[in-house]
Amino acid sequence: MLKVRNISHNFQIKNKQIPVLEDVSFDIEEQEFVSIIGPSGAGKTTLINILAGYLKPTKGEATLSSKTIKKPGKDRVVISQEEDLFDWMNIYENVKFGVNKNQETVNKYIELVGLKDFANSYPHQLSGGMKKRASLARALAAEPKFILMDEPFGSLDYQTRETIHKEVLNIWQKTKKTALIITHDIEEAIYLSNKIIVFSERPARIKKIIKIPFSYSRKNSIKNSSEFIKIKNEIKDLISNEF
Amino acid sequence: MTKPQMKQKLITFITLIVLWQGVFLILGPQNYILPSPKNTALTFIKVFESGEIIKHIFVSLKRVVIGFTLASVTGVFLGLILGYFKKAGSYFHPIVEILRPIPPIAWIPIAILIFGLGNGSAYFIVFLGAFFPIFTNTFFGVKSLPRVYKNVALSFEVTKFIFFKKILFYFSLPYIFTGLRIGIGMAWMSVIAAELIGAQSGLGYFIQLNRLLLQTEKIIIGMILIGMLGYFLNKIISILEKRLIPWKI
Ligand SMILES: Nc1ncnc2c1ncn2[C@@H]1O[C@H](COP(=O)(O)OP(=O)(O)O)[C@@H](O)[C@H]1O
Ligand SMILES: [Mg+2]
Repeated sequence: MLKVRNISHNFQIKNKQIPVLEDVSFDIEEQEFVSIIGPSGAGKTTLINILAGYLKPTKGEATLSSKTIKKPGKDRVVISQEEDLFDWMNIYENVKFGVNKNQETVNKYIELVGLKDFANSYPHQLSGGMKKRASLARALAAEPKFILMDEPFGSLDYQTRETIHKEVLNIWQKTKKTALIITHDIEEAIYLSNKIIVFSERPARIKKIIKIPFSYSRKNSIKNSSEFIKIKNEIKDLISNEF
Repeated sequence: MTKPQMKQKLITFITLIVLWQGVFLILGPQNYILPSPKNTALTFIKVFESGEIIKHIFVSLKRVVIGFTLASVTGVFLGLILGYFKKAGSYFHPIVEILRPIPPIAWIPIAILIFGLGNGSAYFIVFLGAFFPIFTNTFFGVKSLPRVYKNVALSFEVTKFIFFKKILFYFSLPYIFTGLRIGIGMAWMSVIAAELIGAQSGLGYFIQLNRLLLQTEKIIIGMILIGMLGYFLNKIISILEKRLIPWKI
């Protein structure tokens, strides 16, 4: 279980303290899939960096399985907002990187994300969507307790994103990982998660935590259900309240 | 090479020879500046038959290979280490910045004082010519390693050794090769410069000697060979680059 307790963070630029996160607290239970949604520049990536252990918060702390997060570790793998595959390794080598797993396990994860035929390809030979799936396979192969994703599908076109969403749901049912995903796509957040945390403008505070009532065997058609639309409007209102 | 490319090259080559012959006719057959293409070609065959040029070619190539290899090993090693260890880098870098603008030929007098005429001086000058582009490109390659790669390494808790071997080195490889390509060109120019002044063998010495003997054909032959061999050295690095960096298109 991940516990985030009263995390605040300021960046110092010259002599000025710029508050980015303000008293953020929430929990993520085992096997939960949680989304954070909020305006850009709010402080979402900063929170991911803190949870990853790349950055120390100014105040507060986060614990994973009751251990305070102090530095990066194999128990939490991050899929970055940017492209993070190694250009000089083919997909197989990328997925195998840093994990002492045998060939069979590595191939299992490559297959799981649908890249079986591309194991020997270099990242530059793949499309944007395939690269993100490869990053996902690399993260899964490490078999971490917790996966952090920072707007992983933001750069993909609508159609590719829909396909990936389906795959992600599928993979999640199989692997039962705990995950935190950052997005500014409201539909993506509702469709994928069982809990959504809505952030305010910078400095980011939690505006609301919304539980999503759908079961995990979701179909694309739920996007047209009245319940889905209701939640969507609620989040829209929360975000546009700002202006 | 495709057929049209061959044809283009041939046309360029023939045009040059025709122009050369034209200038020769204008200057007249008794001039000391430009020999005729025909005489040059005949002398070309002669110097190869007698073997007098072959020794010079091999001496120059040997000096380049030794000086360049030393420069590559030290340049890449220091570039990787000093690019990575910021503290050490910030002490060392000002020294490089002051030494770098000194052209290799400006080192020749001191090289001759230290190493005397001959191989020692030539190795030293070639080394200096090649070292700076190789070091500088490697150094900046390492410096431009994206944060996201460092983060992946941290997340997966890989050792420093693996980080160096599997990430830093390969990420820097395209930069290293840019340095090697500039470096081999510098090495070749440096060896010729060193031989013009500080040696008694090699292609640089060969053209200098034939200036004193007023053998213009041989000077031109020496220059053509310098051009061709320089091209050939550069080509070797480019082929290696394509082979070793298959992930760049
Ligand atoms: N290393 C840094 N130093 C100073 N300011 C930063 C740094 N990283 C981010 N910021 C600032 O913090 C704010 C939040 O950034 P970020 O967490 O990346 O937002 P987002 O919600 O879009 O991911 C932005 O205004 C950004 O300019
Ligand atoms: Mg961000």
